Parts: sequence; structure tokens; C-alpha cells
Amino acid sequence: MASQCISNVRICGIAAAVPQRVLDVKTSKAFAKEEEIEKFISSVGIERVHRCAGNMTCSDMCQAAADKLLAQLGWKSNEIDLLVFLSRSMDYFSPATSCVLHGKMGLKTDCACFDIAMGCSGWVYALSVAGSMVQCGAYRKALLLMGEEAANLAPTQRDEFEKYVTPLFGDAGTVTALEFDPSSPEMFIETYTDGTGYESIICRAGGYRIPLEPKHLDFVVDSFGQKHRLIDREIDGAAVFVFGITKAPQAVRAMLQRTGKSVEDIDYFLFHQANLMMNEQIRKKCKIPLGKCPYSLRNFGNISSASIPLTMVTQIREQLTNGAPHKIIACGFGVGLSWGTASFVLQNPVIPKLIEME
Amino acid sequence: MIDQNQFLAQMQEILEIEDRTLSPDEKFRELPEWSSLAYLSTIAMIDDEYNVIISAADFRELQTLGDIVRAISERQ
Repeated sequence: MASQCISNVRICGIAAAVPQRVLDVKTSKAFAKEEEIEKFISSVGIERVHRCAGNMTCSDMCQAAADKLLAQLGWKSNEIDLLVFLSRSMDYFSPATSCVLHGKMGLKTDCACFDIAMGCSGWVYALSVAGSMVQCGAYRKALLLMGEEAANLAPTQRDEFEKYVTPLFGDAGTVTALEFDPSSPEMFIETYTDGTGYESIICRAGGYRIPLEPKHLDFVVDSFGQKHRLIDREIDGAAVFVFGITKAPQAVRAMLQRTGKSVEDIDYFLFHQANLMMNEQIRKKCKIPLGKCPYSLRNFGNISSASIPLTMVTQIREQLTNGAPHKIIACGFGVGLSWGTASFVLQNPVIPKLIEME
Repeated sequence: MIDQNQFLAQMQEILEIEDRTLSPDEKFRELPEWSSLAYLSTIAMIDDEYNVIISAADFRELQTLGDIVRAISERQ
């Protein structure tokens, strides 16, 4: 059973950065008719997404978030023992982006850095891995950098991509800071996988299975009727929907049962922001009141592993920083297929305001 | 037990069809109102109303609205 109880680890702070550039769904060229836009907004729940411009990458946004959080926490760069970068929007195929960030952020050499190649379930997975390393006291301060970009776009392909691909995904970079703290309450994490669904969300070309060829940069229609490049995400919407509304509620119920809690005992349920229809179905199945289930979808879209920390920063920052302890269950689910839940208490976390980058 | 007429009315609502009545023989994928979002709404409605979730692979085999009714009743 992939089930953990982590002691001695405190989540000290969370920060997020987005690009200033906004893509408005209402003016998106990716819809054929006006009614489609209305339907998209009401059912998918997204009105705008932030997207990188110029040379900005996911790691730049993660770094900006980390710099701000370190300053507000009063942590020195030579105190960081562990840096994890969890994303599929890496700077290079090699080396690991965590190493690139280590150099740019001026961290000390006795600091462990590695990347984790996960997506929507990532926030829970990074907490699981880094929490295990921090809990024994060997790594005392850790930074978990998580973010994503909607696609890997050369400036020459950006316009075309935005013309064809419906704005479901946004760009953002986040950081979550962990510290060894024996006074911290226990944190519970459960992680799951169904690899038979690996094709449900997939970037087919560009890896070693289908090496990159020039034709993979052409925009073509996939078997679900969506136009994009073979290096972009292909999504079997129905399969993912069925997966999400089945597994996420089961996982949340299992976590409540394991910790002997009911929905009433939890202050916030933070779900990966997939799309409104799926998230609402999950929320209703778990019988969670809307007020306990903040959404960042409307203004930011789906940003994979960044969705959960971005929701904390943009939707409940004031509540989380009011001094009171907040009991939280986070649930990430998606590409893999992979999902997981984390149950923890946030008390006095440092949460800077959202950073918007030019 | 699933009531076929009730299910057809629920499908009409999802597909926003007001000017005609859907029949069990209707090949739903051929309706102009059918879309990927309508598909997701259908899965969600079946989950809400009948407490059944039909997998994407199984749904692919279904052709008519009557097929969906049978698929639901087999799983209840």
C-alpha cells in the first residue's frame, strides 16, 4: 500500500508566478462559433489563461516564486538542502532543470537536486518524496518547484498554436517550502497509479519512442477531432473524465477514513484544477460544500502540478495566513494515469501575493 | 430500474433539443447537437441520476440512446 505518515515536516510557505500576458477565451480564435465560447466558459469554467511570451520558461517563473518566498521566509540560499523541480516543461532534456536552477539561485554544493517527471498529481508526489527526505532531519530545508507551460512553442508557432488549441491550459511556476520541524503535526499521503491509461493524456512525439521529426511540428487533427502538433498533449477527454470522477472521490474518501475525519472536519479541499465539469462532479460525489473547494480555474486554467499551490496563493491566501491552523486535503489527479491525496495542517505559512512577470 | 422515457427527456435537456422528441433508436453520435462536451455531460448525468459510470471503452461500443439505457440497466 502506497500510504505514508510523515512526521516532523512543516509546509512553511507557498508562492506562485504567472506571465503577465493573458489569453482571453472570449477573443480566442480556437472556437468556430460564439455559442462554443459560451459553452466552454460555462462547462470548462475557464475565462482566461496566462501564457509565457518571449523566452520566459516554466523554470523562470518557479525561480521568481522561489526568490520571493525565500526573501519573505528569511531563508538564506546556503540553507537549502534539497531542491526538486517537478514539471514536464524542462529547460533542457538534459541536464535536470533542478541543477540549472541550483546554479542560477546560487545554492550551496551540498544540496540535493533532481527532477520529477510527473504532471497533475505532482504536488502530492513531490510532497511525498521530499517529505520522506526531510522527515529524518538529514535535509532540513527543501524547495519544491512546480509549474508547467501549455506547450513547447517557438515564437514562430505561438500564434498558430493559440489559433487552433482551445485555451484549457495556462502557464505558471510555483514553489512550496518544507522544513524539518519536530513540532509539526503529522501529514498523511496516499499515492496511486493506473499505467494502463498512459495514452489517455499523452505527448506522443519527441521522446525516445517516437523520435522528433520535422513533421511532428505540423498541426494535425487527432482521433478526438482536436488540432495540435504530435509533440503537444493529446487528451482522451471522456476517458480522463471517467477516471477523474471515479478515482478522485474514492481517494478523498479513503483519506478521510484513514485519518478518521469527515468532510466537516476539513477546512479546505484543494483539487487539481482539471475543468469545472469534472471538478464539480468530484466535489458533489464527495459531498463537499462549494465554500470548502476553492477554484483558480476561471482566471488561470489547468496548470498541471501548479494548480494546487496556485489555488492556495490566488484564492485562499488571506484565510490561510490569518494565524489559525487550517486542515487541508489536497488531491491531484491526471496524466499517468496518476493520482494522490495529502492530508495536512497549514499554520502560519508565508504566502506572498501572486507574482506577475513581464 | 431505469425509465427509458425519463432518460430520453434527460438527454433532450443535455442536448438542448426542444423542437422534437428523441427516440430510443436515435444514433446519438449522428445528432448535430452531439459534441465532446455533450458526451461529458451525459457521463456526469448518468453518474448523478443512476449512480453508474460507463467507461470510455464501453461507451464507444454504444450506438443508440436505447443502447445507453441497456448499458445503464446492466450496471445497476
